[in-house]
This record gives sequence, C-alpha cells and structure tokens, in this order.
Amino acid sequence: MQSNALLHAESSVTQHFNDVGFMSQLREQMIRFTQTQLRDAEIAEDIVQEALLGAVKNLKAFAGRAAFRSWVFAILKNKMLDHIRKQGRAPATHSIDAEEFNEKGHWQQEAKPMPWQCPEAGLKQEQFMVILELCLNKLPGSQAQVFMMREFLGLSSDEICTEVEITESNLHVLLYRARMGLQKCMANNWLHDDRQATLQKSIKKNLTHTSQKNR
Amino acid sequence: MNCQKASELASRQYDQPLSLSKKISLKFHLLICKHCRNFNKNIEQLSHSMQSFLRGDDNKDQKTDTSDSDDSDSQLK
Repeated sequence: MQSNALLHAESSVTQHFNDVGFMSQLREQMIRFTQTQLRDAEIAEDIVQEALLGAVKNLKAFAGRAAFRSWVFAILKNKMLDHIRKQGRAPATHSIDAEEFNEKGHWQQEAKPMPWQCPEAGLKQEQFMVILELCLNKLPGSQAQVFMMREFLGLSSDEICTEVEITESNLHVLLYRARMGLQKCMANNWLHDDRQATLQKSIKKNLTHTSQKNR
Repeated sequence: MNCQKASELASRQYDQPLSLSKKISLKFHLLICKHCRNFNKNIEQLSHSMQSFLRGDDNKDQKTDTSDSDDSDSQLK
C-alpha cells in the first residue's frame, strides 16, 4: 500500500521535473525569493541549485504530502537557514520615522490602513505570494531580511538578534517598518482592480521573458 | 494610547508576548479605532498567508474578509 503511494508520489515529482517550463519558472521564483533575503544574486543561484539538487536526492521524502512547490520551498528554506547561520550578517538599523502619523500619533489621511480584499474574491494564494515578493523587494534590505527570517524562516526574536547582531528593540523597529510598508504595498496592489491588472500584465511579461531566455 | 503606539504593539505581539497591561490597552484601542483594526488584520494575514503557503494549503484556510464586523477578541489571545 505504502509503496504504491510512494510510487505515485515519485511519478508525480518526476512529471514536475520533466516539465521544463514549470521548472524554469519555479527556479526563477525561488531565485527572486532567495535574493530578497540574501541580496546576492550569485549566492542566491547557488542556494537554489542546492535546494533543487536536495529535492532530487530526497524524492522519497516527498510522499505526496505537500504540493510540489511548497515542498521545494521548504527545502530552500532550510538551505537559506544554513547559509544565514554560516554568514550572520548585520543589517543597518533604522530608527522609527513616523511619516504615517501626525504629531498627535494619529494616522495621516493617506496612510490610513485599508482592509484587504478577501483572497478568494481577489487573488489566489499563489498570486498573493507573487505580489508579496514584489512588495518585499521595495523594502530596504535590512527590513526585508528580518521580516523573512521571522515570518518565512520562522526564527524567534532571540535567534534573529543573535544571527544578525542587533538589539531586540532594533529588531522590533525593523519588523514594524517592514509590516507597515508591506501592508501598505499589498493594500495598494489588492484594492484597485486596474492596478492589479497592470501588475499581472507585468508579471506575465516578466515570466515569458525569463522562460524565453532559458530556452 | 494613540495609533502610532497601538500599531507598534500590534506588530510586536507577533514577535513576543505582551504584558497584560499592554494587551489590555491595545485591545481597547482596537475596539475603538477602525484604522488600527485594519492594520492589525492586514499584518496578521501577511503572517498567516506565508505560513499556509509553506504548509501547502491551497486557499482553503485563508482568512476571509470580515470587513467591519471585527472580532478583536480573537486577535489578542
């Protein structure tokens, strides 16, 4: 029984690996994601390569329990963690500049947070991740880095402070700025259909461009 | 508590436990301020979506939009 399930999982993984278009798109997505965190294109490519090789070596562990993309990203996450633990870079710290608030600490008119659209009605999760990635790239590097360490790699505050050598209050400021920037950027790209359409068009163009390049 | 302080605490609660008095003042502020409620809900969904992406859920347990009918109770456990 179990070996049947395993065979099925392996053949579905093989199917994904043989789909050149899918794989090159996935690889591009992984590289962009890793670059957001590590800010070094060459290292990002190496790590993604390692993660994909790791995926090939561990086909048996796949066992059909997770969607293929999530599975590969979970491997990527571990590779990135390894790298960060080896490197331990210190990002620049920021003080709280409160441009979103007036002198009384109330929201400025244009900074008032808007409720997001329901994902089912608006964007599917995969698209959410694409937009999140674009928004992450707009953040200052140190903010994107600690946000990813916290929310994507799931490190605790203590671990992050040790890894990147910042104080806890610095970390809270960085995470606060990151969340503030992201929620604003996501709201902008989710709320307005016309902007969403433009964004989708540019994503599509980007993907076609990269897949042509890889041919 | 003003909005700036409230939004800082809203962010911090995802990284470390808040003291009881901070929890209470944040909760009270969220009850009376729609903008900070939106902020809190948005950053909660950021975190939630990344987690469910990693777990490989496909939308099925995405938070649905509750617009203005907030349940601030569930946000400060």
